[in-house]
Amino acid sequence: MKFFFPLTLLLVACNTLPVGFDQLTTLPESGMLELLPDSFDCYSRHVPLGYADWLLLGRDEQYESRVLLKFPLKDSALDSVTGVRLILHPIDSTPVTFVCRACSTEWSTGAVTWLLADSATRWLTPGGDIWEFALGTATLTRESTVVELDRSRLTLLVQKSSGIMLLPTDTGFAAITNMTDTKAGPKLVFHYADGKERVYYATGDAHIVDTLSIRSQVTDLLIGASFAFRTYLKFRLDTLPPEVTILRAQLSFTPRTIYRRSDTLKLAVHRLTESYQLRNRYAGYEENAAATTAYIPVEQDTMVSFDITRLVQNWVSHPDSFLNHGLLITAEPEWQRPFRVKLSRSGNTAPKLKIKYILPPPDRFSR
Amino acid sequence: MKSIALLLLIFTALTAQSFFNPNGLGEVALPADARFIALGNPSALTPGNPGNYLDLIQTRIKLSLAGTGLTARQHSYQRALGTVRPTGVYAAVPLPTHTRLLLSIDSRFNQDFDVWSESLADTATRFHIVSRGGIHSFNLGVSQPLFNRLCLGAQFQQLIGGSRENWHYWAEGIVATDTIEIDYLARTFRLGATARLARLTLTGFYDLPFQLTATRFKHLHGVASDALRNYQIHLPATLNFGLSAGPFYKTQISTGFELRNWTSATIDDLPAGYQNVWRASIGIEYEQFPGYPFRLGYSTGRWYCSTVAGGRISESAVHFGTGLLLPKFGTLDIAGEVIFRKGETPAGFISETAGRLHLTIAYEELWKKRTRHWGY
Repeated sequence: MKFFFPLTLLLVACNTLPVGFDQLTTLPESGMLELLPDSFDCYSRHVPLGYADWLLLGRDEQYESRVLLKFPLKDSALDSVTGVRLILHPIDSTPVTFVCRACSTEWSTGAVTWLLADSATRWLTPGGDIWEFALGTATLTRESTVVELDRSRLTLLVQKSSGIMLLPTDTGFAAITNMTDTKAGPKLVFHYADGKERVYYATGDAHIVDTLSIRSQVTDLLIGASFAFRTYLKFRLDTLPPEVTILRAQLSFTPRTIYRRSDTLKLAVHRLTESYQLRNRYAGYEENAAATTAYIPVEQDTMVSFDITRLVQNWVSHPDSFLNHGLLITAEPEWQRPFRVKLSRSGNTAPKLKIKYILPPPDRFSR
Repeated sequence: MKSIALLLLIFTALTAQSFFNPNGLGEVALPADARFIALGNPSALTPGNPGNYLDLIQTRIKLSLAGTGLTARQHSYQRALGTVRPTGVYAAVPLPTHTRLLLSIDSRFNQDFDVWSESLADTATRFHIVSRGGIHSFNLGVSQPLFNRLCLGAQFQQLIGGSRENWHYWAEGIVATDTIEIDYLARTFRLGATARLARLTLTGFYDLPFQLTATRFKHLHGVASDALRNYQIHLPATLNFGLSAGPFYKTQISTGFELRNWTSATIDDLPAGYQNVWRASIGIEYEQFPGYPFRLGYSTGRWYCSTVAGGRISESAVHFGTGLLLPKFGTLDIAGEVIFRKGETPAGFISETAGRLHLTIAYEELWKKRTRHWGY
């Protein structure tokens, strides 16, 4: 028995040498294809950020982010309220000064953006419809921030307003825990004359982001988060026959980082399901990304690549049912902290699709 | 028993009958009978010849099994592979009119192979192609002895088979597999005859030309996209002769000669590129003690197909074996053969050495004379 283990090793493990390989009449043709985009474009969009993992508050010379909070306030015994406190828990240590104002238009967590209060209603004023008076001001500090709200505006806050909006008044950004955090989420505490207090937990929250002074050209190919920039690319794959096997399809480019508020940038490639030429920025795309990547732009020449082998294989194999409308490169998720990267339209750093393919093997009778 | 089981497992897991099997229809599988394999495998003298049933007295069933261990060398590379498989079942039943009814299953071509491409840089595509399959024959025939000196036989052969080639590709960590499946179907006849003169037996059979239909399917990169194609392969006739002489001083000599004029073989009416080849064998059986023969043989020949470079594939083999009587059952024949193959390829010669162990167990029906006891 003692010889069988080495014998098994000899036969199984050490047995992959190319003896007789050249006896195969013809090997499948394989090759490498490097494609440049046949067409490209870029568009920007205010995207709903209500489902982000946190609320971002702050501003700088390029972006501004406001926070919306909604509490289920009850219109009873308001006269006996002696004080109202808004309690927030920052995630970052950056001090950000802000002002609280009452929101005058109803909004929804899942659809609110800088321009829209919900999916069907535009704000009268971009950035949110608010009462001009301030409910209170404060600066976000590390552990928790307590904002003493103006008691005299309580009736209006409860009866007429649609939540509270936090507007940054100084530069800097800080994230705040949102309502999904049951312990540290935003809460409003009413203090009564008899010493009792009542706590209201947020039932809706979101942050909305806009750009202030981005100097981008119409021809720039940008990818960005918070205020979304999306780049559309389309590669022609007509030269590949349907029976080809895609061994690897890699989309790569070297983006130039213009702005970022986080170390790691996460990008994704989505398959467009509608023609971009016909629908332009409204062309539908698959919500589930075909490929994602995360990178740390330590240097300007950090190359980003996506493995989209399966996507290209489907495009090539099923050209009639799985139409090649192109790709959309986005931030993933788009509620990441604001960043913006720029893609070159030409040169070594421009997007390119490298395809390593192999044609089907011939059978023993093919000539 | 454990050791044998482990060896069988190892050999079964790795299948490669020959590294030349990617060529043509693969290796020709000769009729399998360990007794004659030990004598150089003269095909005409085996149970595969429907005209070779002159001496059949009772029902006989033969089951053969072969285990192959194989090493091959090309340049400085060497590989070892193995396989175990049944190779044939032959049954012959004598009928009251001295006619024999013949039923058998055997193998005609073997298409097992397992090859790897050279391992180069990580960026290169690496291939591993594993093929399993072959063409088998289901045979139904009759044999009629005449005057105790002649025997004529005819056999209908239904050829059926298939092969599955899995082409695995490795490229930069990516694995893809394409599969080629080929189904084979054909019908043909084999005619055989034997003549005996004193201690000399001359026998032969003739395989009629036939049309082999090969239906190919391709399964590409795991998605359901089959490419179907049919091939019509015309294979010319094959002629086999055998001569057995003896016993002289407990010794019997057997020779065989096979002529395969396959230059005119075509695939879809285009020349297949096969060649006219022959195979010759000689063997000697010495039986010092009754029931315990010692057999030794030698055979030489060429394959009908050539290597990719157009080079000949030559083959010679040394055969040896013995047999045992199994009381109240039949016999067990054991044969070993060491086959040396060589073929010129673009990358130099492939030298292949295969060792095979064949076992044939033969069951022979026993007839007992019943004793009649009066009064019962």
